[in-house]
Amino acid sequence: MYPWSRIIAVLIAVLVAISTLAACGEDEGDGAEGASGETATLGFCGWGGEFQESMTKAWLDPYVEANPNITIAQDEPTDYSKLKAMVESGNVTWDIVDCGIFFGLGDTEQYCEKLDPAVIPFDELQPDIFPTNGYRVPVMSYSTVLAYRTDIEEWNGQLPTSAADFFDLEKFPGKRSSMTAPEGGLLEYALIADGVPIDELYPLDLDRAFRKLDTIKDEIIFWETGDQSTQLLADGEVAFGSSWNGRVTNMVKDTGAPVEILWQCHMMTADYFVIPKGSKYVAEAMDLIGYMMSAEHNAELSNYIAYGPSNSEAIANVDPAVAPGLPTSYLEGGFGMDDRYWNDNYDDILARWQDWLQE
Amino acid sequence: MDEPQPGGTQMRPARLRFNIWTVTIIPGLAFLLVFFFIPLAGMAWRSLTDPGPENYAIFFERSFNLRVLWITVRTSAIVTFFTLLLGYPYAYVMLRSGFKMTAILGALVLLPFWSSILVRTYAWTVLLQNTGIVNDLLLRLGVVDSALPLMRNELGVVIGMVHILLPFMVFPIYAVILRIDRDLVPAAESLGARPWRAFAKVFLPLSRPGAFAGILLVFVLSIGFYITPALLGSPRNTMFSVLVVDMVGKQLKFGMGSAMGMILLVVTLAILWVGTRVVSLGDILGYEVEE
Repeated sequence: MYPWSRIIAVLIAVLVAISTLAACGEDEGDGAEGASGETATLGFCGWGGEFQESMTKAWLDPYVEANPNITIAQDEPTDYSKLKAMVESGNVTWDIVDCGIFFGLGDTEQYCEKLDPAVIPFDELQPDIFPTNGYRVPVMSYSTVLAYRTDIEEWNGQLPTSAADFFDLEKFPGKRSSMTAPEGGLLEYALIADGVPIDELYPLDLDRAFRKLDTIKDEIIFWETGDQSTQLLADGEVAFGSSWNGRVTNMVKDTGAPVEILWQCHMMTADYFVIPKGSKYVAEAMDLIGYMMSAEHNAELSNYIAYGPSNSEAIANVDPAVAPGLPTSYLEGGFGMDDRYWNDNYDDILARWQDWLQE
Repeated sequence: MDEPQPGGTQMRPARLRFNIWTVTIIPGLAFLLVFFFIPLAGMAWRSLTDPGPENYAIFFERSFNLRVLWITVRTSAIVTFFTLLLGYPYAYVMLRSGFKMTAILGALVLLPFWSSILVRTYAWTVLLQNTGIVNDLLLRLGVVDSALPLMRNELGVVIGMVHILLPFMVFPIYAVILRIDRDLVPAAESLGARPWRAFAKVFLPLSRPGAFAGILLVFVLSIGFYITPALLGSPRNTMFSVLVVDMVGKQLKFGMGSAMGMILLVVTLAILWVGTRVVSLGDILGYEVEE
């Protein structure tokens, strides 16, 4: 009796094994080769949530309407290790990536395409506040702010007016909050509260900053995500905490929580667009970035989320109704975060910060 | 006479038999090879070449890294202990209950298992934070004067992790004790043993494979935990996986991150090896291993 059942069993097993291995080497089908005018699908990756929705409504949708040959495939969240892996493997699926303050400057420039100054108005993009070597562009301006609840009884009707008040546990008792990572602004705020003039802030005097932070260390609650930072204020877990201005403004709008931003002293910074090296649609991506950065369109984002334009010419185009929520409306209290300093010294600062956390 | 054999379960001799059904291993093996072993080898290679073996030296130089490793192992041990403490009686009650009760108990432990781990962790935040439900209740009842710090410390992390890892302890134990011959304990009692002694000398040893499987599973899982310690703990008791994520995802040092991953692997294997000195591997797998 021929052992058909056995032969079939072996064949099935082998087929399954082969197809599993074959599936791994599958290549993503290529879209049409990109050149201006031809159809292209751009991969756009942002941080997700409200921010990405705002960018879609303000910039991506109008652009796609005006340029019907372009479609945009959205993805989230931005993951630097994914980006690096993409570039290293040569299989780049993101054409525009919204990155944070450290990417696209210094060591990470190798993962980005050089951007064409003919297409992108670099001079208008406030290069003294938002440093770039041509591999990235600032998307919008936002601030890492200190925000406080206005309903704390122990404050006897007083409200904070300066960074020093954040460190004053007698006049303003209550829990504080800070980002778990060192770039959350606490070091800068500590130095300013200790009396360092803003133009002498960088390079940061870490010893002095940590000494000042030690005075409130026991009261600090550390947060990992943006959601946590606003949730802590909304719940009342924290009386005076750090967060990002856009999120705070939106949280107050959504929940009506009695929280205000300390605009008297805020650290201004930006997100940056990069085009990963090896993108198949570099020309198209640059065209879209040029559109978003132009004086004409840059301010459109502010209508959807409380971030200011990065293009100085666009500030005039901001709708007066939304201006009160934007960092660009409070420029006297704002100071720029020195990305170059942070980029060059991140490892050392992080090591010292981690040691300080453990003490 | 050595230990009683689990009544009704054959202790299988450890012998491999090749027949036609062995080929059904191939797809699974192929999958593991491509998605686990090869990447693992790649990771080991990267840890030594990106930029070089000094990754390991750099890691051990900083006492901070060693402290985090220690905290991770210690927290995992604590979590394993408490899941055992809670899980074993739970499995025993499941065993001794009628069908309906067993099903209910099983569902209670299993249902959270099927919901998102992030949702569960945030739910613990709502319960444990200073303005959370537990503290609110305690303050209203006047049991405490000010909010108890139930999270952002090791306590919160342990609570969250025990909750999430409980199914991994309960079910291995339950699966083993289910097969223990129900007559053995009454037999011991009929020979004169008091109930507690019968339990300790007959039932407990037979349930050991289940307990050890559970301990193994829970310990290994806790060592690699990321999101729960990140959200319920504080930076003061950072867990190892958080360090690795930062190294790879933020500082983009793939080589260093790989080295840290390899170090964690070696430490885990070392601890497990020590465990097998105490408990033979055969007991865990249910095999008679010829030493």
